[in-house]
Amino acid sequence: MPEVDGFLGFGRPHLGISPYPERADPRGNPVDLWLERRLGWMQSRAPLIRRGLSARADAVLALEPAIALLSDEALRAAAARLRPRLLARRRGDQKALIEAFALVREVSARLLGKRHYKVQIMGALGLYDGRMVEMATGEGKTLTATPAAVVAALAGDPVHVVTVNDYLAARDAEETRPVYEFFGLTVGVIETDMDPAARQAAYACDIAYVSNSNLTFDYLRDRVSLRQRRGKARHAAAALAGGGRGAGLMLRGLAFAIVDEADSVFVDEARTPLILSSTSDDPEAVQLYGAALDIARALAKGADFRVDTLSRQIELTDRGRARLAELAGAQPGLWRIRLAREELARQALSALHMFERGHDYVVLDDQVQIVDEFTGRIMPDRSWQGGLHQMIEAREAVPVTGRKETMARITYQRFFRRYLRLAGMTGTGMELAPEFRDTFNLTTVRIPRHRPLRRRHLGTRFMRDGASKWKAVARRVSVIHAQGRPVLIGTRSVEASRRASAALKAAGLPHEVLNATQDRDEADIIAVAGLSGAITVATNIAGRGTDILPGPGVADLGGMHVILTEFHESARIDRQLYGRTGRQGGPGTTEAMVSLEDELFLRFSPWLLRVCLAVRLPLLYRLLPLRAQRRAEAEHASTRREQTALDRKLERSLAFTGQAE
Amino acid sequence: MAGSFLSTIWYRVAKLQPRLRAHVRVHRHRYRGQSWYVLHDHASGRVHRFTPAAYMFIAQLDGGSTVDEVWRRLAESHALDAPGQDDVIQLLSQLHQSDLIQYPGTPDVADLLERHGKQARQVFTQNLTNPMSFRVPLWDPDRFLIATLPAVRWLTGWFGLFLWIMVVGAGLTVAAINWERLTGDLSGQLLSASNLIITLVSYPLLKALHELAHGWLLRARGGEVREMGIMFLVFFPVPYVDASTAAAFRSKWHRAAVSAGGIFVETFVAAIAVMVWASAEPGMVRAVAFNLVMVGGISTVLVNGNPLLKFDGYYVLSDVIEIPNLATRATRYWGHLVQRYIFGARQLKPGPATAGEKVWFLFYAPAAYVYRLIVMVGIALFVAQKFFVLGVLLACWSVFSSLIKPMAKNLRHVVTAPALRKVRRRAMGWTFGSIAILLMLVLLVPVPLRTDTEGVIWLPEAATLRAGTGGFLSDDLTVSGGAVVAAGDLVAVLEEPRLHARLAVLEARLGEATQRLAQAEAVERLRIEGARLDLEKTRAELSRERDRLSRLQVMARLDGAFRPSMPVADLAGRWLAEGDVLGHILPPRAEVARLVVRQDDIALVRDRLERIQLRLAGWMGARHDATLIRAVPQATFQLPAPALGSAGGGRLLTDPADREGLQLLEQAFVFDVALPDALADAPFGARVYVRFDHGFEPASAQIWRRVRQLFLRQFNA
Repeated sequence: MPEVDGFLGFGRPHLGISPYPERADPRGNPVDLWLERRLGWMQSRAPLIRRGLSARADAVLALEPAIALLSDEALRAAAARLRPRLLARRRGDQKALIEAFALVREVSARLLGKRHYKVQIMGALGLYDGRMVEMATGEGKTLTATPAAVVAALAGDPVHVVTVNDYLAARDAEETRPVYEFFGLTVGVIETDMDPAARQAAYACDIAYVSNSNLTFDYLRDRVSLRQRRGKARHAAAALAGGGRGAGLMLRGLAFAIVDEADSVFVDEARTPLILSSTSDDPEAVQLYGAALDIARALAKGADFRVDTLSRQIELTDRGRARLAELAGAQPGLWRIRLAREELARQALSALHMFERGHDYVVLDDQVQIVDEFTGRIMPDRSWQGGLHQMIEAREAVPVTGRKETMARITYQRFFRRYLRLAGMTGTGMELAPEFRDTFNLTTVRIPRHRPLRRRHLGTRFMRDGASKWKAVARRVSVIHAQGRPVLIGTRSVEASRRASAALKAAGLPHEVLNATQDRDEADIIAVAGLSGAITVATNIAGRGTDILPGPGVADLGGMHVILTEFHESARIDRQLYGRTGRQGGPGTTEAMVSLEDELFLRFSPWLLRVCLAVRLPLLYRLLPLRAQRRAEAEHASTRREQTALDRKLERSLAFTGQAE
Repeated sequence: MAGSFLSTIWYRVAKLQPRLRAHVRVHRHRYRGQSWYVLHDHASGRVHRFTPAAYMFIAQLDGGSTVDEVWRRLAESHALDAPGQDDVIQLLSQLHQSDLIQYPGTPDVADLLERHGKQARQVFTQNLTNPMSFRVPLWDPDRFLIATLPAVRWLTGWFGLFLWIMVVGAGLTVAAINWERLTGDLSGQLLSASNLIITLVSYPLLKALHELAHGWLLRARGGEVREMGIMFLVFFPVPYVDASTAAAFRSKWHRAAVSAGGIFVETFVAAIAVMVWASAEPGMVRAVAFNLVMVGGISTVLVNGNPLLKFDGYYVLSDVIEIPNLATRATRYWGHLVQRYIFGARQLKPGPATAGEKVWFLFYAPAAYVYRLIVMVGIALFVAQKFFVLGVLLACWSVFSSLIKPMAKNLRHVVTAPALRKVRRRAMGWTFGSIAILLMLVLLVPVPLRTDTEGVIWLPEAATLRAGTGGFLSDDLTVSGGAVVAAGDLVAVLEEPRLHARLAVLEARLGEATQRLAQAEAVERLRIEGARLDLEKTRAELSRERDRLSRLQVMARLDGAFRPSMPVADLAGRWLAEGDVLGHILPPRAEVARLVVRQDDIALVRDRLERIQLRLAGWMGARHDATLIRAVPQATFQLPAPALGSAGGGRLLTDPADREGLQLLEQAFVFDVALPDALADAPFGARVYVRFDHGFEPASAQIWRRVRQLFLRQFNA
């Protein structure tokens, strides 16, 4: 709870062993966690925090007439005057805080031409307080982060503004750079292909814009370079003895992070730990994985192995094991070891039967790249563990990369929890409030909209099968296209976007496809997607952070139309897609056109699906996504909880290896 | 060994260079024909068992090679069964948790401190969670044991065993010979105040000897005893020793001997005591001897020596059958069976166990559970008799610890365990389904509600022939034994010669008084009143004596067969005092059974009677319906027949001080039921078992009624 952890003077935060400030890993007990979840749920729904923010935002707005009269120089001087007060009393000095926010608001108005709305100031105050701020899509989250970042940086904290990718990091940094520079603060942007020295320089800035994975990897690199010399004193001693060798760290400390699209980072991407690895050459790899695939192809589904679709696992049967021993008899090396060959076989079978090209991964430039199941984005810096990645490379006949040797690993849950002050922004975080609370110690606050919502949802249409769905989508698109309105068609996978594209092509509709394989011209496509007459097919790529600006005259036609072609496992993601239109109070319509054959229904409510197929009652269809999504979300939530618990247990059992990352 | 072959966290352990700590000794044991490696940690005194596969890895940890090197070597040399990285990590973690390894480098200090704190609190938390066996470690008895060992060493070997067999054999023989005397009125003697006081002294002494025996046997075989203290077993202080180092002995007989030390001592003492008891005169010595027999014998058979409870007998058993950790593993095996076959979690692997071990597991776990439950409830009830509140607390605790706590744990497992994830629905269905069915059975399904009691075939009071007055039975009875008589028939005549004489005297005095009255009327008017009174008195006396005369004739008051109380020949000429029983007139058929109902059951019997069924002792097979003919509305402390009381073998508790065995300790009600024709021939005085049928009621309601009665009685008392 930020209220009691050091900021109000109730004791200092418990610091971890590290040369720079960071919080020690908490050791919560199950009862505490359970209570935290309940508390998180209640706090997010009670308006108390929101009222406090509103009152303070009013105070900030009230300073506008006085501050508007000041010259630029006077503004700078005022900020400089505030710094000692911010530094000394931290959150305690509300007056200084409110004045500082008012200054940033004025500067933003002068330099960027955007004066923060009240809701944005509320959001900024919430961020500064260390909350999870829920703001509707299109309310200007980039601008909201600025005052909080400026004020924290003025108070001397290294500030990290965390985005979901490099593009957004660069874009947001450029957009707000003038404000920071006005106050004499430096801004750094970290990009994936920067060298260590450049990174170090960027982190040395007052405010660093960085993508979540880059940030975490850099932290892991610091950990690896420190290894056992992690204590402040040991590190300092090593630096003295080695003539400044200890200065090789990237980060300056985990003081304050503002995480944009926090639900995506904290929940969707947090399902697998981040792994820092070095690639080692393994000349036998190609042959090994090839043999594994050959053997796996000889095994019969059902008799030799079973596929568990729900938990995505392959199980070998006893017969399968025996057969495997027989098949592997002639092979040397690893194949002689029972556990090793069974694992190889399971991975080969997974590669063959569970991972689909275009759905789970894409092949780009002779490389297998993972596609995030939730967001549809390519995750270039990730790979599957334990040889699975190489197995899929072998299957796709692209060069097999060497075996990855893990050097360090950390989960987002563990990493972000180490920030002394953590804040998040999200468009859709309400249903995750309990989880934010128990895992990240974040209280969710819902910030009201600046303007009322004018977006309309036209309902859901259920189609028998995939083919008729795409046909119906094409028909629907042509109708709206004829009105001159832009259309965005959201798909769940690369494969689906191809099919949508094919259907549109067949109907003779000009369109753009935006999917994981075309990451680079994303910005160009987005730039025109809002223009009158544009048709864009996109995986969830368009769902996050990027603003599709409606073209001139589009608003008068009724705004952009968004078609959802397949429900996601979480209703949250559906809402994010819908949120592409009707931004900032503009008009827009959304609808869902799905088929009963969609994987979601098959996986999470097969029973109800069977009933639906038999009864053909439209009313019953409506239950289908509700039920499937609820089940999926519950499943994922419990998986995440279990994983956090497992991670904690693992760490405890690994205590003998020394400190964790 | 399960888990995947390559681990993503291998990098954390790969470069470690662990070795076993210097004071850890390795012993190779054989258990049920299989080799195991036992690591004996001399610092903590604990012993850990590892499979040869695990030891293969442990043995190569020399402090120089890294974990990765060792693992690679294993993979090279033991191709087929090489352990996976996950297995290795798990093993290392286990070794670390048991403080068996050390390695260069800084450990996670926070973790070390946390574990230290946990261990420091361990005894305390153990005591908190198990207040029935509260341990207070006191001292290190090793030096004492070494010093005293020479004095008892001759007893710790074969000679000791031989001596034990001889003495216990003799003791058993004596006990068998005196079995009746020994066990007669056991509970009375056991709970008598003097015995309890003796127990207060003898029990801790005997237990101290018991614990020292463990220590000496262990020390004599080279083990160490580093902890001794006092354990409050059900709030009763007894000493204990920590003999866990015995597990490092290679021979299972040595291990078993140490575990059995206490049993040896207690049975030995009990055997000597039984011989003393048999030959001693009643008095203090005999009382103490009896007490020692009971404490040494009963506690060994019921508790300490019983392998179903986790005391010495259990350890002896698990040593002898070579299954260490029998109880935990048996429970776990059952858990595995349920999860695998009922819940269908097929991916679960059972812990390592041979076929023979599995058979033991199958039988041991349920037997131990049931026995433990019985003993706990028994102790609670026993204590409740003396200290009600304490007993109720004990009962609550035992229900909590043996029913609710494990159930909550298991439910939690079913609902949250990641291992059951795939079969969660089925597991929950089975679990909650069976709980629901059980609850429904208890709460809703009506089961027969009955009251069982006993009665006797009742002979009416009129059937008894009594001497109406004192007299000699005339030489020949008017009817012979067994003859059928009708009501009013003369059965016997008493002779009282003095009665005739007295009658004659009285008649004479009557005449005299009459004349005296007449004379007074005529002569002396003043004396009339006195003469009249005299006459009246004489007349009354005469009529009383005449009445006695008539009562000299003993008449049958019922139709039936005459059954003299002793052979007719013996009766003849015998003097009978007034009221003495001469014999009975047995009616041709038994009409009535008289029953006694405890006051707890009276409401049910009065208000909800649907049916009465009788069974005659000796003819248990047949049940007969009967009807109620008479209910005495008032409760009584007096039994109608001694056969119904505990002194007479019945189920109602009677006052042991009452010679006749008729005085009840608790009030009861008397009922008469008419016997059916089928029971017409039932012998009079025979016991009948009676069942009052009250229809059906759910078990929960029945239990609730009894519990309420128990509490009402206890708190009103």
